[in-house]
Amino acid sequence: MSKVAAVAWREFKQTVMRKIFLLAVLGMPVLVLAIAAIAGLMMTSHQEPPIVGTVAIVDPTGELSAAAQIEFDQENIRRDEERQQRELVESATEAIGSGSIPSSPMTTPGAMPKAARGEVIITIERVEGDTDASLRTLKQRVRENDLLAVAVIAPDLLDTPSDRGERPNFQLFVSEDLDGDHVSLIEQRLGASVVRVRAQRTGQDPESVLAMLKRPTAQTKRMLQGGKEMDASAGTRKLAQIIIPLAFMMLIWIGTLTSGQHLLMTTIEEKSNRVMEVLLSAVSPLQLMTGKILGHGAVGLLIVLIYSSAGIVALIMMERFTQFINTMDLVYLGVFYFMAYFMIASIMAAVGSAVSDIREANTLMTPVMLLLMIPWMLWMPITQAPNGTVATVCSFIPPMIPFAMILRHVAEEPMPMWQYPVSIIWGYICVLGMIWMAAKVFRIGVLMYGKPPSPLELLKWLRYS
Amino acid sequence: MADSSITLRGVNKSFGSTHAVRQLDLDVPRGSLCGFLGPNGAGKTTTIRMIMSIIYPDSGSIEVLGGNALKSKDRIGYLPEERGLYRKMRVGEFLQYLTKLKGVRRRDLSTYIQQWLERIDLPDVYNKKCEELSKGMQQKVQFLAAILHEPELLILDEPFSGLDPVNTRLLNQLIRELQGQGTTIIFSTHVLHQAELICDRIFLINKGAKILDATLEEIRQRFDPRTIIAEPVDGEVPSDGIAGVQAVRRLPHSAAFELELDRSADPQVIMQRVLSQRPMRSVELRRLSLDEVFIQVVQNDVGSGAAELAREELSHV
Repeated sequence: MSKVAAVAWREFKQTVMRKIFLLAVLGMPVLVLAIAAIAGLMMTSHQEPPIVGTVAIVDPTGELSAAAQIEFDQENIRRDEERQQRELVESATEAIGSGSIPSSPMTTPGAMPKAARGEVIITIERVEGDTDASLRTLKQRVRENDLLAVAVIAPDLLDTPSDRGERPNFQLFVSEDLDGDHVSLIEQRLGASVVRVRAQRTGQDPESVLAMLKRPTAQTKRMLQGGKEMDASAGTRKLAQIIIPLAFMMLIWIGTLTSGQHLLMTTIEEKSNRVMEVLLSAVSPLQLMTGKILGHGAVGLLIVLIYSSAGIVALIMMERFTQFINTMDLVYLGVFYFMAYFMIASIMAAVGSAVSDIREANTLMTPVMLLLMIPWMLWMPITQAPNGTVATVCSFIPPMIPFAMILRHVAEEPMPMWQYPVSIIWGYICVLGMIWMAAKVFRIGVLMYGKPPSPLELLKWLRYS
Repeated sequence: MADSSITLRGVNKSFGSTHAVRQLDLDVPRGSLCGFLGPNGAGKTTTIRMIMSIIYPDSGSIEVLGGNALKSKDRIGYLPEERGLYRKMRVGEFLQYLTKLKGVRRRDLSTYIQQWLERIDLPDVYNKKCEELSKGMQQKVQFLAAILHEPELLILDEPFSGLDPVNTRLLNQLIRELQGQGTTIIFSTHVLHQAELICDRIFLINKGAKILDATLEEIRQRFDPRTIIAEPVDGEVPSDGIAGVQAVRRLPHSAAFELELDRSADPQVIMQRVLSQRPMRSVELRRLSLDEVFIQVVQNDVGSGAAELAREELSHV
């Protein structure tokens, strides 16, 4: 046992004490934050190009053009955009402060601005005729960039629709060179113009109607036992349903993959340095493999601890820790981390022992990497339906078990209690099986040099003594 | 066997269709220094790996230091032919790690290692990275890794390869010292004259089977060429009329002659007769070198192309 501990300690120390490891583990969150900050800065400082031009509206009555004159008024556009920016900042500030995330409220007919727009000067040209010939002429003018766009709006679109299920549309023909955001702007402003006309026709104040269209957001609270209240608004629910399961799965995935990669690399290094035979003169292949797996498992656990501590500290600072995390979550995180790690580590140890250099490893690693991508493919389906067929089946298929189970455990919808012990016991039986197979391959592979084995040959090695 | 460090009985090992070791019986006397010789692919490394319990035999039994090979690992020192170091690890750390893996628990381990490093003329390498050492220095560090835990059995696979004459002598001296302290040493090499110089017993295997197992003295007696080499002071041919001498031949590129003796002739008597005939610069009883024995034995090994292999091997030495 002391030999296994000695091997494990060396593996742990040699990995963790490397500058590159400290840089990767501690630098990665800093890098992600820096990239996010730079991207945010670029988005806020980015100015869309100015747009100056004319939008033609086929409008036999003239009502729509008049409404559009107001909607496309340069001052109106600037004011609305400033308000949207302000609301976005307030929403984000509130979300961070309350542990929520912005819930993208549609506060105006326009969407949230992605960046500050440049100067927008759009004039409206009313076209009375509604013939095919005049439309062809207008389209030609758009092609020649004489017009920014042509809108063809059916007269009955200006009446308030009686059937609520019907979604009447209008046609918009835009220039090839027109920026996507500017197209959106024209679409939204024309839509608002239509609403404005409808309001006028029904004798209502258009400004009031547009103001009425602003949907309020609910500040939902859950009433807890003991008199406490817990925020359960849309943003918070989104955090609980999507972000928290994702964070748990990512913790396991990153810890497992990083330590598994280190295990693979050190095994290959020992083979290529020819130090393997020296080691095997002191320890058995099983002791060596066990020590290596435990050592790198501790490396992965350290990574998980560092990242999860950062997350826990953030939640505590937002006074939201107890709302989203409980002790059992952390216990299950440990249980499923080790399950995932031992499964992946046994594969990595087998591959590392079977090849002589990293180039050879790539061939065998391709199917392994594909296997590791499966959790990402199944994250959304499992999160959305934690008790669905996909989620339940994945909870019993290695190496998906730990990833599926942690996603389901932290999901809002509780899973049947019997699935916890059955999945965990079955998962660890699979771990033992995989380690047994890896040990067989490892024992033969570590002293094999030359042509790397094919996956089929690896299976054959399982039959050797 | 109680007085054997290693006992192999009917050991077989195959890799797929290749029969690497077949029905191998071996007894390595405790405290002996044995040469383990054989052409390329003879099964030496496989046998050594089985002794080290790095791999296991398909059948037969292996007893090392009176017990299970796996349990005896800590009492065995091993310098494999394929040398290896952790390139980025510091020498002292590397030696500490391997020594601990061999079960050594000493508080003064770093001092102990430093003393040994000084002993092998590497006093300043403790904190150097292994990759900073020359090949010869690395070799000595690896040798140290094999002996630091004071093994009862030491297995050395080509210990002198890559060493200059000064370091070869140093290692030779250490090996003799260890043997003097009672360590059993198995010494696998292609440099047969090295084995001849230090070994007191030779095992020769070919195609996985043992073909020679004897002390050096027994080998000399068994492979006595019954030839005297004489070099007259005047360079004249010694008389071929000496009783007991079958034929006299001049050695190529030399002033010496080779006198082939009769089966019944006593070499001591013939040497006296040669000396009494005319002044001689030297008279000696020729002994077959281990190289010659090696070729002869391998050649006689039934149905083998191994002699060719052996010649080829010797031509590289």
